[in-house]
Amino acid sequence: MEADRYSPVEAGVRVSTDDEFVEAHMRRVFRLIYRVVGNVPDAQDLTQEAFVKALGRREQLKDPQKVSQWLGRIAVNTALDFVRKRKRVTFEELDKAPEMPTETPEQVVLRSEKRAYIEDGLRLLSERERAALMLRDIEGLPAVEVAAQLGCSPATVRSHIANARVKFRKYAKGRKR
Amino acid sequence: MSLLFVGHPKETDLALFAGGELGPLARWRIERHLQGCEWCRETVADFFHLQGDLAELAELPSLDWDGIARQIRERLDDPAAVAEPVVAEAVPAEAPRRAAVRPVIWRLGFAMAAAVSVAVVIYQISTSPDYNPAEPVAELSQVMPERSTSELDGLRSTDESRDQHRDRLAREAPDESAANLQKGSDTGRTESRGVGAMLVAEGESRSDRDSLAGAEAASYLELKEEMVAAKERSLPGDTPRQMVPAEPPEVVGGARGTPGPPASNEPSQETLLTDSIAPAAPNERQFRRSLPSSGMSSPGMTVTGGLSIVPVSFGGDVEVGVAADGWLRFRTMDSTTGNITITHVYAQ
Repeated sequence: MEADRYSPVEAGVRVSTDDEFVEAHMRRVFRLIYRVVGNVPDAQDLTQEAFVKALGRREQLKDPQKVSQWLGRIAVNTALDFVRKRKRVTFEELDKAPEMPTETPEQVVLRSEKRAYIEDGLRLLSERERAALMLRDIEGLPAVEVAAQLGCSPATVRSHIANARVKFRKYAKGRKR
Repeated sequence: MSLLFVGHPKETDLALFAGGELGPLARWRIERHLQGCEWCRETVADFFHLQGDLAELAELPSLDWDGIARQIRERLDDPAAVAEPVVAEAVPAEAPRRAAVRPVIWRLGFAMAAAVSVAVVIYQISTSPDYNPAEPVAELSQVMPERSTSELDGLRSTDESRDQHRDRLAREAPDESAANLQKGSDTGRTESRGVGAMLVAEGESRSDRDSLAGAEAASYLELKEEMVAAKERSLPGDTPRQMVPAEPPEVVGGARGTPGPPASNEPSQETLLTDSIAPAAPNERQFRRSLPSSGMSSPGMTVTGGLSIVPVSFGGDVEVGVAADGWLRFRTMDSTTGNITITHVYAQ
């Protein structure tokens, strides 16, 4: 778990160079984008894209204390635009899924199957529902923070999250039958 | 079942309850409901399990963070790479072509829908029983009071003979003359002129002057003379028609497009003495004021020609002329602006 996962990145206030800025926010930006697009190659490209956008619009940041929220919003919007244009999410290949060093081969297979099952369910969601659910239930961001990242109201985010959970529950019940 | 819910809470509310996104009051209500509802407890349990399943995706794959940071720096240092967005690579090659075709299809669809709508409206109007394109009601209503318009229904009944006349012209006269005549007879003709034009004795109407240009004039005049002769044969003796006025009609504004107040519903008060006027020559269309209008609220009126027509009442300073060729001319003058409005109606 990265140190800058949820805490406000105060480093954004003091950084003076682009390198330090990138180093301070890179992991968080990558995580946000990865949660939306679902695979590492696209997430890497889009992370670069998000930083290019952010550094090109640095003058738009009015409050340095909100650099984390501002950058996260750019990252999520970049990822959402990408998913919207490509119309579907390509999740991580099973052989590239992270492996636990202590897992047995059987456990690896079971875990891979479970990931495939979850990812199939996530594909049923709209990109905004999926992004809201991932940022809320996986990244653990508060609904207000998710709303800030997605650029919509908290009520809308709660609607996205609720709808996503209901859809996923129906999918899960259908798979069990 | 809880007393706080008529039925079960919505599934979305249960989903938010499981995720801790509800406010205190909503949470309390659902908690009370869950105490007595097994079905909703199972639903909430499903949502809890869902969150556990999603935690499976929480771990990130092992990544070369230094390599990613290096790529970002290289891209930031490369202006060309900065200018070219990565997202463009992810869009399939056929996507722009499809996106360009789709608006064209939509535009064609909208254009066809609009064309069909216009065609339907035109068809409905043209097939309406109230629609008669040859009826100059709108033009007459601009210069005549309502009662006078209704009394002109008798004149409109001559549509059949007017159509016969038009067909005859179409057969015998050149196309352009027939077209001009048809245009004038279809709509009536209203002209507004200034005070100076009022002093000019009106001979040929403008439509006649237009249609009589060139070599077409001779055949047209011959045709009209023939028609007048036939008309005189069919009307051997014009009898005077006299109606005693009960009260003077109201004054009508004569400016074009500004009809005056409607006349009273009393019977027509005008006297139309057609026998006091010598029969006009076939092509005579001179108008004159026979009755002085000073000191009278009723207009002066002169009818020339040898036709017997249904008398109509007018308000304001109105002159009616009946030409030998069957054209009625209503000339009104606005006392305030001095504008003269002339309406031509073919009433064979």
